Amino acid sequence: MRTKISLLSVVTLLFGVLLTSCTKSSVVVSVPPLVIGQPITAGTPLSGSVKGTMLSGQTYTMTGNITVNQGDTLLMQPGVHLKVGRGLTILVKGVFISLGTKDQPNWIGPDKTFTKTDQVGASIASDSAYCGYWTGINCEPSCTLLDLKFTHVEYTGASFSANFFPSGKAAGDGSFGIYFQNLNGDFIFEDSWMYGCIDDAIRLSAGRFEVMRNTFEKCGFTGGDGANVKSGSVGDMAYNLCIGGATNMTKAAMPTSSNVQTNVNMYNNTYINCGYRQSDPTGRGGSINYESGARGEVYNNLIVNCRVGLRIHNNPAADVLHMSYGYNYSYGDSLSVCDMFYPVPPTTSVTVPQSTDIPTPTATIFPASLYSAAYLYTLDASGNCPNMVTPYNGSSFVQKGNPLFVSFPLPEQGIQHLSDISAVGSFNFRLQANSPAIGKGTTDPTLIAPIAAVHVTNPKLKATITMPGADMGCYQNDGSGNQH
Amino acid sequence: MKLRSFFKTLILLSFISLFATSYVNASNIKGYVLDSKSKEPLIGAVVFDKQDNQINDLAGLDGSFNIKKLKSGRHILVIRYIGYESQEKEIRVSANHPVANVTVLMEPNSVALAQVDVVAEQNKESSEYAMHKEKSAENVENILSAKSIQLSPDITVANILSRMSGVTVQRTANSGEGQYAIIRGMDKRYNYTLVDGIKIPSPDDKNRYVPMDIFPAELISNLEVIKTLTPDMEGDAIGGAMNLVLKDAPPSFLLTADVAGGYNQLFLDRPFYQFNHQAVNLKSPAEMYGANYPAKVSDFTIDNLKFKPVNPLPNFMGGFTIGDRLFNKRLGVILAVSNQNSYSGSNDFFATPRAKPNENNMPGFEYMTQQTYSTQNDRLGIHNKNDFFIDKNNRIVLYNAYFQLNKYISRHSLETALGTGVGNVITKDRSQTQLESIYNSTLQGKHTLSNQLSFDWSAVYSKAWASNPDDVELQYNSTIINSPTLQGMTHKWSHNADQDISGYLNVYWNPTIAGQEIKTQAGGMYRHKTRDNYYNAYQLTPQLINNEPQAFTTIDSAKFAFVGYNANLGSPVNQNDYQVTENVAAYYGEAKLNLWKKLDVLAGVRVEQTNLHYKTPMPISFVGSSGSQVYMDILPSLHLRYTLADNQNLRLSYYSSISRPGYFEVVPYLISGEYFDEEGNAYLKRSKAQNVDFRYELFPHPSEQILAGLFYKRITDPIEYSLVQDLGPSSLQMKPQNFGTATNYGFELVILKYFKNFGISANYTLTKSSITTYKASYHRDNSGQLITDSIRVTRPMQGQADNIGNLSLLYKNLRLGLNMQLSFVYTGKYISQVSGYYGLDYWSMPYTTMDFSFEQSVSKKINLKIFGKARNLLNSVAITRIFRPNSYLTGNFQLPEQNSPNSVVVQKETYQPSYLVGIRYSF
Repeated sequence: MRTKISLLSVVTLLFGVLLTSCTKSSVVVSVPPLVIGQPITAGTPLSGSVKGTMLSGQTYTMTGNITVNQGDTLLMQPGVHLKVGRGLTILVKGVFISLGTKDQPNWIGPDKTFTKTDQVGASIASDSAYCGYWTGINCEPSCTLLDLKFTHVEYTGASFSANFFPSGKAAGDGSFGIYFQNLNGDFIFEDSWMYGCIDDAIRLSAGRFEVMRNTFEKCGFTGGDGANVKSGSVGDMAYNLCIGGATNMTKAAMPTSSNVQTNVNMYNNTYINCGYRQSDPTGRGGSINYESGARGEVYNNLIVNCRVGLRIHNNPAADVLHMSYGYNYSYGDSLSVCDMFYPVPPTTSVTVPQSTDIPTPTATIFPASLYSAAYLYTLDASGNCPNMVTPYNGSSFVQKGNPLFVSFPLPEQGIQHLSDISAVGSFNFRLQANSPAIGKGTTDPTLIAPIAAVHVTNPKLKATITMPGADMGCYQNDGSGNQH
Repeated sequence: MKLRSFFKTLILLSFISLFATSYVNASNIKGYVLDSKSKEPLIGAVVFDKQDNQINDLAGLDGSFNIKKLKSGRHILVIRYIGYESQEKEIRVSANHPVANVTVLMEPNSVALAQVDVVAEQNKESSEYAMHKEKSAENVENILSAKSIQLSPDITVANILSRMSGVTVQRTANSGEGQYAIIRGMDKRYNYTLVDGIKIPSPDDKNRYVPMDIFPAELISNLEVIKTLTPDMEGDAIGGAMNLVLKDAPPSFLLTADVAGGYNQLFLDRPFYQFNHQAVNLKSPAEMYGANYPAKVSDFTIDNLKFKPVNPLPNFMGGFTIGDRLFNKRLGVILAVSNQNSYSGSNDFFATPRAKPNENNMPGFEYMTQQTYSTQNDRLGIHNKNDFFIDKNNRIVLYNAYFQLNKYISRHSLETALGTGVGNVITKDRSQTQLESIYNSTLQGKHTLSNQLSFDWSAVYSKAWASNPDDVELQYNSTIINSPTLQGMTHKWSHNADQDISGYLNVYWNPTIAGQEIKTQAGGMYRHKTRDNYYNAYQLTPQLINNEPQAFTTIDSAKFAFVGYNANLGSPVNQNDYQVTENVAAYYGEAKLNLWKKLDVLAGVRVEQTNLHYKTPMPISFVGSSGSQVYMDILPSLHLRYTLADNQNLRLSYYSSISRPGYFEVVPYLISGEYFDEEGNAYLKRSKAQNVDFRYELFPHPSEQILAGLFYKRITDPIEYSLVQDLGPSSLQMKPQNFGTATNYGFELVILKYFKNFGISANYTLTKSSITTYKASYHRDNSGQLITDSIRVTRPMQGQADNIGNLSLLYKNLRLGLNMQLSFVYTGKYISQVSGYYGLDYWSMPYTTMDFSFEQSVSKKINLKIFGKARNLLNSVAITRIFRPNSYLTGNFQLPEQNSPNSVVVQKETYQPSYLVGIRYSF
């Protein structure tokens, strides 16, 4: 018996020794080598980590991907041309500022010259606008400010190469023109031009922003939006001229979640011929779109010959209880356009025709039983809007209320499809003095006012917000609004 | 329906025959034929009256016989059984004592096997051996024998596992076949798989667990589910370990062969959609021409997108086993080959809720989906074992096993948008070629140095591969008013390989100290694992035709392009292309002793040192492009067995174990998902568990058992997926994480009872587990903003069903040479998929299957049998629900298949019964 007990104690002792012996454990995760941003000098090709000022009137060429490190700033003075090599990326972990002016705009685009094929009816398949030459300006979640004023951003949309891509993307993924993803960061895109891209021209996965007085041409190849902001994005999209976009040109959504609700005010934008390259036959919208819990105010927009008008999506539904809109001006050459002023299946929506809209949605065409907010905004127990806008007879709207652009004859001339015109070219979308769109908008601040979410206060850097204007669309008769 | 009533009749008949055999005649002799040592029944032993051999019986499942209608007087019974000395017994039967009871203990016939004493092992393939091993094992385990497996309705190991106590098997959606085992409510990640005691690598591209459907049932000699670990076993199982014991070389020449054919009822109702898998390009353009090769549209085949509706060929199953002992029985050789080629599929309904719910976490749906799967499974298993006795004390074993499962899966999917009538429809056609294989080669030596000292060693090479060449999907959309428009086409290639080189050494020393024999054992193991993955995906965009989106008519006329610079490189660098090396060094010591005759104690400790390195091809600017995890675990265990009586044991086991994270989970990848980004976790820790088991065992009769047990597990750092906001508060990522402490406890009951021709095998497991994790909640804050925040939610662990049960009714008539089995498996509801959001977990609903099998001897002269297996006779429907109020019962957003206001049916899968009939020949 004794031996048994002593045996047991030996075993117990063995246990003890082993249990008390050291347990070492370690986790190693590789970290990027420290690279100090190098000051840039004119005439020296840009590559790697850079910071500093690009001087007025100079041309700089990127021969490799560039990174603006966290804590560093890269600034373009007025009149700078930044040429980007094929497939390259501007990666912003710190701050990137481009201070073009009306007289001295800045250019960020390919290091080679493409011939623009902006003539009416040019083949899209061979259009250089969709060559996807470089991968755009990509901001990491650490980027606190991306500020572009009077800056041309052209020919983006390449796929990311093997060894350089931002967070949230992988090698081989397609790129956006501008990608911003800091909920607590500021993104300012003012008086600038976005020409040619494959997917979205601007994608915010989160952030405070102003997208104001810009021109968007040929954005998206067979999909993609102009300015597409997602969960936790707050700001304004106003006075933008949008022409020939693949899908929507201004879009607000909240497909994932955030502790800030997506809230976007869209006013005084002009939309021409948008939504016709979208390959999904449901259209998914063709001008303005709110969905999946996003909220906002939509006023004074001029929507001409777009595939789909203002779309308040029913599923996933926008935050319909907090949507307000009206004073939007629609024009259509054909019945198929006019039938979609208020989107009907296959493009589903719960857009309520507003009495302030032009042309006036009469109760004869839109009986309250089917087109009132009370009906369309009915939420079921799961928070869906099951009552969507049903087809109506838009024949009385066809070619009514020509907004009389300075130089863009309506009905549109020399085209086979509305997708045949997708750039400004020699057209002029200012309103003639006798345009029926003049003075029809609202400036009532209780209806529409900018959100002005951006925090930047430095007078040279801050956003310049144009208040809502009474003339429909992006050009005001008093010369304010879009300056292009 | 007809079938059902047929089987009802069958059950009834079985009961009647049972009743008939129990009927007591005026003068008869009843008794049992048992092995003299093990007291196990010798099923099929012949008992006859020496004077009249027409008066006879065969020992039944419980070893019992009953010789009826005997005249009063003296009778001499002759008892014969192969491998045993025949016996004669004299018995008197009189009118006063009409029933005589007798137990015959048979002595093994040792002459035939005298050459090598080790050969005189028991027949390891018998159920009795299985039970004997369960009874005598130090730890808690359940064992299913080859005979039971052969008789069962199953043809893969995965499905057999579902019949074992405490095991739930996850089905694949594409065929309804079982695939992964959940043991005692512990998800597949907490279990491991052994082949002949050696851990094998997995062909899974990211994880450690092995798909159990790769193993054909026929090659298995015994299937063990080991629920408590002893120190000599690898320590990374919290649920348990599955050990596939492959067939040993036979004591003398053996040849068996079988061939069977069958059909799945699914394809009587609809065609099987077949694609030409010969046309699949095994390598991606980048693999063929270099990583920087700009792919052309013409580099891709579209033949694997052409689906031909066919009536599939009958399912085929065939195999043979050949073995012998040569050179004075010194060398034993066995070769077994099994091949199965089957056609299965499913018709599925899905209503997949959006990943982000509507306000207040209510499920929102955009589409409802009808899917049809057509799956061809081609399964091959080859097993070869050679053992050589150098002398009495030295034995060398070499065994090789190769398993291969090739799946050719075509899927046709129609997604209809809600609320638009049948208008907006997304059509997706997909074909997949999935090639998986596992190879294992083990050289083993067993050496006895003295009565007290012996050792064994193993040198192991094993490798697992998987390859998914050209996983292709085509999408086209149509609406109420538009004809189909081409959306795009994706071609993906991925493959991975996992290679182990391992060595094992065990030393046994059994000293006798103070008259007490102590069995001590110590040893170690080292495994060097290398694993690498490849992934590349190409997205092709439809061309615009006449400045308009392209209409879709046929795949042949569809025109694609790569849009944007670099798009034609596919996904040249990807975190999926990771490489892992993992070295595990382990050593242990244990001692076994018997105290006070009644108490067996096994105590010991195991130490495992893990050293894992990973490398991705990501640029060095990427945090975690490479990294490592190094850790050591000390895993003590103690197993007590107390013998209450000859036929009763009490067991108490404690062991400590771990579960390592999946290989890919610790790589800090970030991949865009459809709704969430998916993120790895370099700091993910292994889960650690303290496990306690208590079991009472009663063996009322050698062939009967009642096992009742309790288990309790406390798991520190369990791994579950949950949403995090790692890239700032704006974004949500799905990420594997450690979540505090989880508990899992339950009760198990196993009952096995044989009557003469009839048997019942049943088991039941009650499991309760709980884990607390963070979940996202989407709702309005006080200011009316729609926001998402986190709340803590306690729920059962993924895969844990509260109630699982099995019932098998066996009928064996030795005179007729007939075996029949009717089996039921019940799996209670469990969480099959954890949602990142509150309330939106997927619950797999209770599922009952009924299967039937039989085996009938054709002739007594030649050993030829007909067998049949019928599976899923109830055509059970697998239903998955979300337990949130259901507003989709009526109205514009009505979903089909709904029947409850309190839950939403989100998946419904039907597989239909399948049938197999074959012949088996043994030499």
